[in-house]
Amino acid sequence: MKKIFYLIKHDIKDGARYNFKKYIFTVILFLVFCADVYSQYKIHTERCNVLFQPTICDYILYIFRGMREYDPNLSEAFNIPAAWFAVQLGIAYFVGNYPTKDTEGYGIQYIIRSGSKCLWVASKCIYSAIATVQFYLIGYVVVAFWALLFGRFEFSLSEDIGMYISNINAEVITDSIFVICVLVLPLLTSIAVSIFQTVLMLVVRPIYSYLAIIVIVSASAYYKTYFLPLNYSMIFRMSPIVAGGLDPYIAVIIDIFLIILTVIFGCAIIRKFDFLEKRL
Amino acid sequence: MKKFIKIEIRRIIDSKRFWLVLLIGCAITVSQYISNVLPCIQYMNIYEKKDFSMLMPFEWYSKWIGGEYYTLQSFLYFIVLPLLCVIPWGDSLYTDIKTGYTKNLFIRGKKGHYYAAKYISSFFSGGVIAVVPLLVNIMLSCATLPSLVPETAAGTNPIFSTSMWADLYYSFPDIYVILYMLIIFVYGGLFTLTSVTLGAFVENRFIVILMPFIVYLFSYTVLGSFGFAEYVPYYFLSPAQKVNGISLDIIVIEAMLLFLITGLVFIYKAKHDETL
Repeated sequence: MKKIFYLIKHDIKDGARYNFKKYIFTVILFLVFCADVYSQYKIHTERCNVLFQPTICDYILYIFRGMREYDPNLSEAFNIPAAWFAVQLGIAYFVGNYPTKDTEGYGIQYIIRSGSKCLWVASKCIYSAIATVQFYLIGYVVVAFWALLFGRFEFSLSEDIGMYISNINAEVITDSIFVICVLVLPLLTSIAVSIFQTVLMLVVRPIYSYLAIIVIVSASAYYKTYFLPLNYSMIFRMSPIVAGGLDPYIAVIIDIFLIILTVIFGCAIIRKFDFLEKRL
Repeated sequence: MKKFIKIEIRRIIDSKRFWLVLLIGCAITVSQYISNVLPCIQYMNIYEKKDFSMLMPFEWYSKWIGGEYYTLQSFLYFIVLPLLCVIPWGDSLYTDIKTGYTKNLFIRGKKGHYYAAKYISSFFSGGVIAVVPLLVNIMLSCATLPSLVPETAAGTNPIFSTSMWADLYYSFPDIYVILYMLIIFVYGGLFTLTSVTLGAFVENRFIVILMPFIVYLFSYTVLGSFGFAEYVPYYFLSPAQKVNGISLDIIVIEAMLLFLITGLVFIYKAKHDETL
């Protein structure tokens, strides 16, 4: 047990150094989203539609709202909301190729000295989860800071902002729905997907793993189904918000199940597969 | 320089990644054909059997992957385009420098010739990867649906009167498609060139390959959010022209800028490379 703590400690330290530039990228990304909400707020203020400035929750809701189920028969172009799409791919970029860094150079020493390949995989999966949490934390801090300067530093939802900017009825979003659908589910789903990305990196090179994540993100936006987990990170796909939506509690269970299954699968792969030599 | 170009092209063709990426690209475009073009056959049969004299039959110009904007595959292909173009050859300069391969070449030829050959081969590698899967899709679609000149009254075409080259699309659609393929080829090449250029300076191979896509995605996010979608390569590279206001000027200026930046960096590297 001690060994896994050493491995995680090393990953957090080394990962922070390795990902330093990516922290800046994350900050810029969230600043862009906040500026987008603020510019829309300004437009609606001039039209007298919106009376109050956006709160922290308004900004977060806008970023993680995703999109409604797409209907190709309407002949509208299929486009994924930029904020949600960039967050999902930003996390994949943030996790990046760090988990496989140990397969090159002196990094192999870590695999040898950890004593167990399975332990090493588990530590990398935990690192991916921590990196995802870091990404979200940076995002929330940026949003809070922006709200402090250009909005209201409050944890409530504004009906006007919801209606005119996020296109969502904020009245139906109770505190518990907000916590589960906007705070817990996107984070949990991102953790599950980033662990999947890490395990996939054991079989294929990081760039193909990233490509697979792009496919999953795009397919999740296109089809509303429990089988594509990134549906759970969109509030527009959840049953309290839209009729016939996905049940958030089932989504939480699936996410947890997915995380456990992926780690077990990763351990099974690494025992059978020579990932240092035979990776695609 | 011819010798270097030959070597570089041989290396690209022999690379497994080149064929793998072509396969991935073709898988996307062929699946679009299966899900979007092939089902049209049943409607064609209905059209032939009954007397629908006022009904416009489907033509492939509005059904192939570049001619529509409502399938997942169409979105996916144009969003991953920079990544697909870059994977096989984007990190070639990086690996050549890291492995010392350039040293072997520099004692057999001029540095300038190597860089020029690298520039040309990278450009063509990216261009071929961008265009070949689309050509496969076009060939399959042509074999399934008729090549009727699109009719505005049919209301099934994505090009409006204000769209770029709208006249051309509704009079000579083949030329429209060919010109768009040329644009996609050039941008495919430019994505690869950007990545190869970064390989001369950046230490992380993953970043070298991913950076053109990150910039592409960033433009989709930032410019798209603030109402400048017509400047976003994702929107103007699709022959279906997913937004209004796309103009040839923007496409040419952005391409020229990329050519200029990558070209200047290559010239600088060729003159100041102190390997050997």
